[in-house]
Amino acid sequence: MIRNQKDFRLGLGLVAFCLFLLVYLIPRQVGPLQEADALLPGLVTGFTLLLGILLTIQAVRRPAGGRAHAQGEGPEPRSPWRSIGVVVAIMAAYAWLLEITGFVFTSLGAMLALFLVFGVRRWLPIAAITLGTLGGLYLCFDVLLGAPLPLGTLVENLLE
Amino acid sequence: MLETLTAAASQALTLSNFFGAALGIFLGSLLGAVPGLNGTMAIALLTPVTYTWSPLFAIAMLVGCWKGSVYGGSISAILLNAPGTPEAAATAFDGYPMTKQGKAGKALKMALYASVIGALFSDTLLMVASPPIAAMALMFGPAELAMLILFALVVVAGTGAKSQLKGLISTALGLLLATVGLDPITTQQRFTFGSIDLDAGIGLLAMLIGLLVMSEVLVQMEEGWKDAHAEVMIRSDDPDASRVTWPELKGSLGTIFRSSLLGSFCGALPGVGSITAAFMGYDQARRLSKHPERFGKGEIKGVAAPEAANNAVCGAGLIPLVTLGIPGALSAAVIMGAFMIHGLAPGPMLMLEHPETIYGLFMLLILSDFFMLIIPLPLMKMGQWVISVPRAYLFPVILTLCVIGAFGTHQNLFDVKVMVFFGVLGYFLKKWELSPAALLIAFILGPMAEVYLRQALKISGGDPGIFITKPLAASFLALTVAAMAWTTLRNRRGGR
Repeated sequence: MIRNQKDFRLGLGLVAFCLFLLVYLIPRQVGPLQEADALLPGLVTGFTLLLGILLTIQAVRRPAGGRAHAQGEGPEPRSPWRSIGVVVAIMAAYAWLLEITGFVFTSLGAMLALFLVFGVRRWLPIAAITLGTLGGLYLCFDVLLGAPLPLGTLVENLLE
Repeated sequence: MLETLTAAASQALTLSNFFGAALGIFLGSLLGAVPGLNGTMAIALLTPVTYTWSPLFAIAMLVGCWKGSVYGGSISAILLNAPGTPEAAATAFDGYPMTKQGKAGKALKMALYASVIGALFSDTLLMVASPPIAAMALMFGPAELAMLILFALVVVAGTGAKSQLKGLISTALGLLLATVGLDPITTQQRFTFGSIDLDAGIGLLAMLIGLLVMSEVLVQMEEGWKDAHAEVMIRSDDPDASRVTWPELKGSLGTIFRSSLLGSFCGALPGVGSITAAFMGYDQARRLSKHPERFGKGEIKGVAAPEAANNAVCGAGLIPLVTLGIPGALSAAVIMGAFMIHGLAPGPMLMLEHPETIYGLFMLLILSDFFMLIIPLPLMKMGQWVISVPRAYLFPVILTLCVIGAFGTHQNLFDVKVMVFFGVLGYFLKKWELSPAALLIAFILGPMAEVYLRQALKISGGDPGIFITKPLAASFLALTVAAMAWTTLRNRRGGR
């Protein structure tokens, strides 16, 4: 009977990850384990493997700490997985599109989308904060620090 | 020595550096006051902006920001019972009851005075204690340094994780991530997957912003943040209700100095941090008070003690960083990143190679403590407005700053992707009750640990016995084993 499912899964995941590192990744990406380059990665992975095994054993024997959700307190609060997923997707798109559409357009789109995800529907504050933030960042990086923010390949091509 | 101090003073005591320190304190107080933001997030977001500035200006601003944020946290703790930063939680115990009694002004001012005295105490300690510790550390060889870092890693493993085991896992993952890039000795590619972007390793700042800032936004989304709404403050007609009288300050001085000493001690020890210091400060004040029953009901010493203690952590927290190259706390780790960006490698050689810069920094830190007496004053007046900014408006701005901050330092779009990756990883680390702080500190110390370890083994011809035969190295190894055994025993007792 596993008494702490979360730690059990984490422990098993770590063990699998460390075995993958030791057997496949370190020999291919670093070199043979007996070489100096692989000394620290090998040692640390071995140590992590040991910790993973310990965590798995502990999860089988010991229940999860902390207060469990008591009965009669109503349903457990639902995790806003969807909103978190959308924010991560927006951030990932922001990171990837920055190169193509540049700082101004990507940031504008990302900020608007983020405001909507966070439930802000008042357009005047959205416009003021977005323009203020982007203007401030442009002034700070492009003008004051002389570190231009990306223009984007698409905009560069259009300008040419 | 006198020549060094004169050179340091001429380099440090300039109007622009004063402005840097003052700006840091203002921004730190402002960001620290907003529940949901904290000093580490503020420093992480500000660091990219500083990379073209002079090291003194930049680091004085960032340390000022750290100090300011520690004080700023007390503003919302006192006014709303919603600590802006975790270290301000103990301040709310008596600060909020004082607000309910119409003495918010008195509580805020006592918190400020105690913070300034605590910060001055620990900055003086930093200035006095650092040179002898650094001189002693210069005598360490690679074996001693490797074991010292191992000791620090084991102690720091307790930072922020649910258990020692999970702290050690976080530390090990940080060490593993530190091996990505070119080998520090042979320049062999490791875990680069053929990507040129990974040759230089994972960008520290991008990782730091993702782990500390973006992940925090995701965690707060999951927890379902509740914005603080300032209630109408009770105002008193008594003029003494909004100021600290001399007898009150005189009566609290003993408590403030004891807490400052405690805070400095906690700061100098890796892994203890300002939250523990604040609670220990509060506890000693209550236990030594003639009227312990007044604590929790609006006792002014209950505000002074935690504030002096948590601010005393900042200066002392820089002692292991400046002298040994070991960041004792998360904010110190972020500041270590700033040192490195500015070409200053923290460690025993720092005081030897850049004495003017380091003594100049010490001078600016002490000076910034006096700025702290003035700069947060307008925030006390605007307090209710500042702390009530809805997070729905803040988070999009913070996330945009994360992206541009990660890009800005090296003008590298790959760093933005790294930041997003570590933002998501940081979120899962927190969900699994692992410690991003321990991971980050291990990531920073990893390259140094590896170089010293391999140098020591080269000296001994590959014999690991060098770590036992050298007395100092053996002492650090014994301390490491003792620290692990003590934590394991404590956890077992706690578990029963």
